[in-house]
Amino acid sequence: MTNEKLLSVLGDIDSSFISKAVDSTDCADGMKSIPSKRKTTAKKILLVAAIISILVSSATALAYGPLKDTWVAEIMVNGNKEVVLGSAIQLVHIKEDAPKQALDTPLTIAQSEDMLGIDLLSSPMMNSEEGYYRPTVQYYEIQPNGKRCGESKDIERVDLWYANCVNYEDADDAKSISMLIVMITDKATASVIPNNDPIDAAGDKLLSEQYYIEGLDTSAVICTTATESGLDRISAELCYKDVYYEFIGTDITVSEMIEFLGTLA
Amino acid sequence: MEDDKIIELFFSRSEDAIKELNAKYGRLLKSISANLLSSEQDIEECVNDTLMNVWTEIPPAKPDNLTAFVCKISRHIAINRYKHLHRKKRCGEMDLLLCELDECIPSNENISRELEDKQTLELIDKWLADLDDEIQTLFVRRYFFMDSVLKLSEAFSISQSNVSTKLYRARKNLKSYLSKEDLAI
Repeated sequence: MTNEKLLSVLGDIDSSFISKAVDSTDCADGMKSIPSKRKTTAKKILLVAAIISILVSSATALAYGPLKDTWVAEIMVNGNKEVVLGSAIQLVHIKEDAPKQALDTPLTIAQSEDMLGIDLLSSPMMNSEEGYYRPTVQYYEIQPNGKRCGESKDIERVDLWYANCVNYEDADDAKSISMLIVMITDKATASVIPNNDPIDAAGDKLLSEQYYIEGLDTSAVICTTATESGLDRISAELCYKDVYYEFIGTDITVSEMIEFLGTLA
Repeated sequence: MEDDKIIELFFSRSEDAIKELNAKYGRLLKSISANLLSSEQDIEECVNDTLMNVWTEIPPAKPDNLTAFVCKISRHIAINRYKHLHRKKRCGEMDLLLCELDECIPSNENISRELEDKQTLELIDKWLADLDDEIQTLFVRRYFFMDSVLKLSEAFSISQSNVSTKLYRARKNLKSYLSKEDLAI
């Protein structure tokens, strides 16, 4: 083992030691000496950060640079195996008057469909429809030096996040399924980069099975990921009518996920 | 704001989540970055990258310990930024840290090489848990938060040489511990 490796391993020490060190002494001591001339721009930077972050929130991969007519969605499982969800996903056309700002008011699936002019999957099992709309706006151009500049133009990507859209009433609060919907629009010119497993993942995303959803004539890739909390995260990813969906189950079984997938229409 | 509430904001994809996270942890994140990086701009960018990463991670991640969660991300980003900036020249706080950590690595490379990172981590966690509180915090602040010896001496109200001595003993102790466990495996 090299010392560099050891430094890296030390970055993963148990969380209790980290919070204990923070609690017992003020780790932020000494910050007074750091000049803060850029404070006035902090808010702006934060907003930009929030917008950029949406760009990288997908588990799918899309090449850098201007997009052509299609894009590829793939996930990495079992450490190094690539599973393609869709190899020629079309860029979708959304309504021109779709909001360019994120909406704080949740939308039902029907409202999202109406706003975007796109049909979305739903399920009778969904007992909560509070979706949050986040567009990624083509607000910059990439300069030769890699810096971004420019003003807001078109919507490149739309994310809809329906947290806990399926709640299992007879179970504890944690048992639920959430849904992430992503579409890349025909105005997209930027890039989406591969997303690593969340930091609470305690292992690789393991392929559980590929389940063919007869009603949709498409397959979903179901994976299991161990997490630090001890609970396995069950995810199901699929592309349907050029829209990417990820269903994230908390405290559910693969069978329950399959049962849910069968109800999608 | 309580960590649970901040996580709820992330789950509802509210941009207030980033504002609240920055309000609560911004200073700490800045401190972690500043331990490795000297440029004000690099530090600011590291903090923003950390906030952005947390936004990307939550959901689906739902950390039990938000403090540790953000600190780990911040540390990782700061180290990567440092490596990027110092690709050619070897100097600065991290190289000093690396030299110090040399003393923790058992000399029997053939055996230590067989240790998986995860096993090593488990051993280090176990070793840390058995340490005296003060030494444990010193070690974590030096090798996780990458605080300088000067900063630690001020925080603990002890001399710099005292900090260095305690850390030296801790490193020797860790080396001995890893060697023993190594041989046992």
